[in-house]
Amino acid sequence: MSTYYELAWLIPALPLFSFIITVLFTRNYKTLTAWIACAAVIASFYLSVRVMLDMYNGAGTAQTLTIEWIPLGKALEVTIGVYLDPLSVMMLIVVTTVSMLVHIYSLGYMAHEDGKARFFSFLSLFTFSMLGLVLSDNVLQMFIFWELVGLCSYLLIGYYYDKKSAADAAKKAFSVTRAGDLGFFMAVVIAWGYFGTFNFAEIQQQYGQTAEWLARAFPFLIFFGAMGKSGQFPLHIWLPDAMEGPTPVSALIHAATMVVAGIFLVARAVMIFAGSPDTMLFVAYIGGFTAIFAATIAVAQHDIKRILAFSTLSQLGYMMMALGIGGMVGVDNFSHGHSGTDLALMGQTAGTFHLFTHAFFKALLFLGSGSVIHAMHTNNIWEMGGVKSKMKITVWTFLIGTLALAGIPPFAGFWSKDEILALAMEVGSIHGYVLFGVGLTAAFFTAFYMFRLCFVAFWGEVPEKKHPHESPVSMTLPLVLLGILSVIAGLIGNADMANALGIKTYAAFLNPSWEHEGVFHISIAAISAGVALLGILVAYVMYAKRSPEWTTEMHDPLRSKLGQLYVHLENKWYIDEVWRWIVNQILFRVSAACAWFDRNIVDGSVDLVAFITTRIGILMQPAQSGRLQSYILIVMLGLFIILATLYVAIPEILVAMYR
Amino acid sequence: MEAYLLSAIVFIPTLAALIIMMMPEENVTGVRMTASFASLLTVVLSVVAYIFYDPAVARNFEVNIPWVQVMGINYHVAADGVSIAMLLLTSITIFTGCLISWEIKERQKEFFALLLVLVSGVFGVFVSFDVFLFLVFYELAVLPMYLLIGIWGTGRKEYSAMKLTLYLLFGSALLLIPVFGLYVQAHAATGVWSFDYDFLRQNFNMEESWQYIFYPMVFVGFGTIGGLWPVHTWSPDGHASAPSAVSMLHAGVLMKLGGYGIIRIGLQFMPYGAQEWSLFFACLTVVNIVYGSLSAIKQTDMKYIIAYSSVSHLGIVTLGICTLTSAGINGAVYQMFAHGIMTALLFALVGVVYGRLHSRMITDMGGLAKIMPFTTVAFVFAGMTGLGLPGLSGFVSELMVLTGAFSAGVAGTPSPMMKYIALVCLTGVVFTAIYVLRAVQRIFFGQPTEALLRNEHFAHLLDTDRREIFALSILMLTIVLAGAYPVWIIDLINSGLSNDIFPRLGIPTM
Repeated sequence: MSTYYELAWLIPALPLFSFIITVLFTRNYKTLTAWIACAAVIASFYLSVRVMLDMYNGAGTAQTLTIEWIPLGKALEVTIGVYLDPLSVMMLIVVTTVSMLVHIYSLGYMAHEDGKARFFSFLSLFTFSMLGLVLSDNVLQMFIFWELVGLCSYLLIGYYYDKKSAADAAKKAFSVTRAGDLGFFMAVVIAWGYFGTFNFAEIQQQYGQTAEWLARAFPFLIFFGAMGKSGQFPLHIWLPDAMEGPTPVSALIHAATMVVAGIFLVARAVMIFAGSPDTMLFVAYIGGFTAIFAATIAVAQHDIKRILAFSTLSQLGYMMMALGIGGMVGVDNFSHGHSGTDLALMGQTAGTFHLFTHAFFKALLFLGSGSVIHAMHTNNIWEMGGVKSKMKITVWTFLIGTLALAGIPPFAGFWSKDEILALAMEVGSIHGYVLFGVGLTAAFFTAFYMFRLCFVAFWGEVPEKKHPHESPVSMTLPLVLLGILSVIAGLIGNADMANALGIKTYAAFLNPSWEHEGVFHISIAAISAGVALLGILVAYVMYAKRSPEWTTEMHDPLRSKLGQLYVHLENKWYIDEVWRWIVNQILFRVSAACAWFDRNIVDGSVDLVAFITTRIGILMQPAQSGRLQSYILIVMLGLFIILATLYVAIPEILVAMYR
Repeated sequence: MEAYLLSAIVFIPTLAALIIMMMPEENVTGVRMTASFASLLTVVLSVVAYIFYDPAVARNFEVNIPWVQVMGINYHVAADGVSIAMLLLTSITIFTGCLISWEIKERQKEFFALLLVLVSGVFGVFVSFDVFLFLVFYELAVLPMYLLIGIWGTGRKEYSAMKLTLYLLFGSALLLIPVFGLYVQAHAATGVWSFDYDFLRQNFNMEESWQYIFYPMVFVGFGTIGGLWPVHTWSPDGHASAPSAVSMLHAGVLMKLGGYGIIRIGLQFMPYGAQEWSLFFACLTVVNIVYGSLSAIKQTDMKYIIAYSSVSHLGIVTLGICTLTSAGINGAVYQMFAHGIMTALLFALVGVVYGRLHSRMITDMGGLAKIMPFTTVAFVFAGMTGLGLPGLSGFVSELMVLTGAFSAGVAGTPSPMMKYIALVCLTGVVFTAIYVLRAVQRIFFGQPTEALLRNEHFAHLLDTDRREIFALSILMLTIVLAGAYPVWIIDLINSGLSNDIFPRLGIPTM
């Protein structure tokens, strides 16, 4: 085992130490706290890169640390550890890179905040939790850190806790993801109950012999958790609201890392999922639907961060769809000459590769939007405009991100998106073609709404009374670095490009024992790039002449073209309202009914017993009057009654008494 | 010296109570200091007991002196892993409770004396290995509550105190039947009159038909104090009326006597009855868990929220016992510890807020986070423990009990019903999140409500002072220690249970 493998435990541990130190000792020293957090994450990044290089050079998969956590042997055995395999190492790179850049960016962005120390402490805690999550070899450890990243998300969305909307958004995010986690927790419990282990690999080994319902239920329940965390329809409603948090948080947690945890989870368990083609078909369609559904909503949003949030949802759907498409054939079947196992691995490759590239360009877009918001003091794109000439670095890097997201060659998103579309065609069957169409349509919308955003926010004239200026270097440096990554990160996905550069492809890194390469068809690439260009063209025609008179969302030229449909889109297809109705009309009523039942029926019956006892007492009260005469009277009366009864019943007794 | 350790823990509070009663009324500081110091001493001694505890020995620190020889009653105190865990819980709770109770304004002398007597009783229960002694301490622990709520409480305090006491007396009356049944039957079988726990355990097996009759009496009798549905309704009223420290001690420790008693007496002497009745009682605990958390959602009084959450969380204890599996019962005891500390923290925090604002309605608050940052952190912390956030203690017990319930079929219990029960109980997880987050948000986040701005105490509202921070931090630290690395406490509990409960139930030990 290489040295850096042995040090791998430090990768999550350093941010944890940073959290502990900053919370206990340095919370009153804002700058010091920020630097401790940055130092920790930079060290983690360095170690991650070294571990990645070792992995690249063939150091292999290893469990480098195991801590016993619940020690009950056969009754319940839980361990926590550090598991290094290509997938987890890829995630290490994504998480530490983005986290490091976001830390640096935040030095500038959060410079004048009162809660800066709190902010950086939470960032450290988040980084620790996310790293712990990706290093899991078992479903329970994953669940533990899964919940912890949820906590960090809650705390950071609610960073501006005195703002009601922020506090509400935090609560919503936690509750909705928690509802998804219910399924995940069930899966955890079932894992122990039926498989006797939490370990992914061990569960997978048993998968051939399991009952069919179990083989279906287990991944389905896990997917429920993934739906909550990765914002799949209909549990997506929390993510747009989560934009109430500070922008660096949106970039790190709600775009690049935490929200892809669901994708990572499904990818980690891809072989378990592929054991149940039905579940995977469900995954594919939920993903595809989310991709297109969120993309349509993004078309009619006005808050720059919300547009990006819906775009994130849409891309998450894309990733989920890729995993589903790969697995829906099932491990035991064949399609177009590929075995089901191969296809599942291709799905894993395509889905996680899109995760990989998306992390960089979406973080870039969020950080760029933060820079613009910082300068313009508004989130509404209609109140922006004209910053193109004032904030050159921000706008140009933002455009790179946009092109990457839209899928224009040779930017990163092109390669990864293309791989997903090619995979859909490769799988064939009616589902493959339908999902291919879904992906293509979503790609069109993506290109359109992103360029709508760019034209409206950056073109035209600067509104009066606004004086945008470029952000400080701590903010622009991460933008430039992410911009570079957004250009080059996609190249490793393509075999020809990678060969030309003399490096392994992403697919070869992810599955060293597997001779396939990522799929690439020039015709599909041309179609998808063409569709993206079409989207850009439509946006250009509509918005490129950014008029200074477009000062509110009412001036959107699209509004008159779409009519009532535009309003539906603006209202996000009313899914929030549906959920609100469910909570208010069903959950709260059931709760109120339970409380009423408890107070009035359960407790009421007890009070009734008490009441009856008291009543009887009151009825008897006159007997205890304290007057001797009446006592004697009662005694005499009683005696008389007894004697009379006896006389009637057994006359001999009276006779006997006289003797 | 070792032999005196447990007796010292049990009687130091009583001794302190006597000293306090002899102090002059005006010497409030002296009273507080004596109480705090005595309870601190019990913390230290409990930690000492933990350190010197030998898991290989069934009865640590054992003392067995005849007390009423004719009837076979012994002063038999000892400790196993379960006892040690409960001693730690009790001493930490009483110590922090004393620190929080400095707020008490009237008749401090009597208040602290009663509190300490009560705690002596609780300690006594946890170390008794004589069934009669157990019951004596049990009654000693239950009765002072009447006065503590009736005199120092708020709202409908007499009603609540009376209700609580009657309920608990009903419970103990129900208990006497199986206990004396055990005593008499053991005499018939062995020819010896004895209440000694180990004597009975080793020399007597109750007939199955009697076990079938007695086990539900034990379960309901102890369940009454353990918050079992539907005999739980004393708890919302009781908690709402009780002063903070009393609530802390009551929900934190006293309600744990229920689960403890069921395990010590029910599972030990009526294992067959336990197997027969488990499914029935497991169904009741589902009601506890799900209906308790549902009822909490719409409450507006902070104390009612916590009281219902206790009903819900204590369902985890009883469910764990009903699983009759190693994971489940270990989880039940772990939950007694975890919930005790957590609920003590919550009630302490309610005390902090109520002591300052003289209001407990969450609808009348909002935006307290700006003024009371530490209180907010602690409340969020406690809430997260309650909703089962991994890394804090609540999650560990939920996981243990639910996996225990789910794999209950494996250990030989008859029915797959347990699996469904486990899955239904999981929904409580979501409801818990809802009421916790709702309370946190209403009290601390956003902006102050109109009602709060009108509150005369709001203008000079202060965050926790050092003493309170100290007390709250101890509780939080315990939660992290137990939750982030639960091995130490699970080993402790498991060693105790493996000695005499698990063999009795036929559960394989490691």
